[in-house]
Amino acid sequence: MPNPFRVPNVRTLTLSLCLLLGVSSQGFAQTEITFWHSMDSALETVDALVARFNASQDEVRVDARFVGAYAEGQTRLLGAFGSPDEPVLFQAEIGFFPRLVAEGATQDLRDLERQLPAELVEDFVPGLWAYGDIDGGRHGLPWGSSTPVMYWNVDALRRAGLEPPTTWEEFEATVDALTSRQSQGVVFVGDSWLFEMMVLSLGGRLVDDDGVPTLDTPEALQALTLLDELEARGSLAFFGASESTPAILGFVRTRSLMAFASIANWPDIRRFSVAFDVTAGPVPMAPGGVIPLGGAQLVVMKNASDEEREAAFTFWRWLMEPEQVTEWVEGSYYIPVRRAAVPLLENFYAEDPGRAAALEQYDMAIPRPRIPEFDAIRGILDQMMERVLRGRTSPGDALADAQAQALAEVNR
Amino acid sequence: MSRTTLLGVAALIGATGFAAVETGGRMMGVRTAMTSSLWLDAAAFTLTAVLLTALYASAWERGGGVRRISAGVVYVALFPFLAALLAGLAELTVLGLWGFSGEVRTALIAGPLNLLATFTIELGVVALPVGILSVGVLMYLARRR
Repeated sequence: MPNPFRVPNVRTLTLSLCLLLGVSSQGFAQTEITFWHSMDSALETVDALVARFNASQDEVRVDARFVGAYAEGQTRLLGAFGSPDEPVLFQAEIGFFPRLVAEGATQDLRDLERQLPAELVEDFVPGLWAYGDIDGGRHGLPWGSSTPVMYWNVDALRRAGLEPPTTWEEFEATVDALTSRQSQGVVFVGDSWLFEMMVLSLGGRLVDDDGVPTLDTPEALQALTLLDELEARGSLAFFGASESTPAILGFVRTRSLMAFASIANWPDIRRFSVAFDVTAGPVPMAPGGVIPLGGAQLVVMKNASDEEREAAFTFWRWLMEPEQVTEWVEGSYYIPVRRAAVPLLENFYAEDPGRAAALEQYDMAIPRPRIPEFDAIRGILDQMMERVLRGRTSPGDALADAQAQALAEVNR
Repeated sequence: MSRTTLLGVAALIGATGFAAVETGGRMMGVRTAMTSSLWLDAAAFTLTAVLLTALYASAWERGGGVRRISAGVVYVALFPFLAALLAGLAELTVLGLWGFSGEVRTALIAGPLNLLATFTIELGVVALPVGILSVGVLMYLARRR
């Protein structure tokens, strides 16, 4: 009878050790990917999603890091290019995204995209899905998309006996009617996205289908002239592109009674608007008008290995499950990128109609221009608005000058 | 100087302070209004100056150095809150807005915060010197009683 307490010999010990190491190495086959994002206001939701993903399987581990707001994240990414610090997955703001692609910093994921079921691809909001398809490749994956909406002080409009405007003509009349000794009708942040919102909603475009800037169209002139005239009459409070905080403070202090901002700003605006009732609605629109999408795309960086690339795609694929899309929308107030998530969000939207403002514009949202130079053109637009609304330049001259600068940028 | 005369001077100083803030605001493009009526705003400034002077007159008349200065500092610190509160109450009453919770919150929360921001951040170069000068005059006149 064998002695169960016999001391094992060296061969048995070695074999056992090898088996043990083999089992352990199975655990280390996990692929770890770093994910840089800028979701400050939805940090808890990002962390919760990542934790749930990591706990749901053993193959991929995501290390999510908040790297500051979009501008700061972009600077850090540029600093990390080609270094071991470069992330595998990066949340690229959509104005910056085409530049990243043009610089060859991202990977084409077309081969992985082809593996997606057709019903999944068809379920994406077309404008959002089209965004990442650039230069003949699938460089971006939708996540964290928004649209601009109009916010207003409900009490102020009720007191003035006004309805929320649905056209720009109504908007002008409403803003003038709301302006008084105490308050200005609207606060406007001179950010290119909001100017683009006005131009697109009037039926214009900032870049044509051939990628040529068209900043001096009649629609752009109409938009800039409207802002200029409202400002001149004292009905509009203008703030520069980097002054969104004082602009929001003006709104929550009731010094301005209407504002335009991303639907993703709704939780903050709601939280700080303690002194009045606030809600949100669709942007005023001309026939044939559309609105620009905002937010970001997820990109896989060039230096990622094949395993990391596939792991990043697996993580994104998991994020796109309706349950995760729903959790993300409820935590971030971004718009659902998949239609399958909309029924799951019925209660969320029913609880607060302001939340659904972006949903009402769901089908009229289109991508921002996807040319690499648009990142620079945004700066040109920001400066143009400053020159008109804080300086003495006429809208026509400013637009002509901006168009010349934009063309020079494209032809450089 | 009698207490009544002192309060009369306080009213005059309140009205003058209002005129300075209103004019400064217009010149610097800052909205300083607390209510929809210029007269309600002027009345709120005037009444606030009178009420606070009545409250601190005895400290200025008979108090020691520390007490007098402390009363002056508290006067300046309380002024925007009390003025905006009075203006808000007047606006709600005159326009019949007591039934609307948002309007009540605007008048009683946004109003005081707005006037505080106006006095310190937006129009500090006008409001603070006017406030300090006004209190200095009132303290001096009270002492002469």
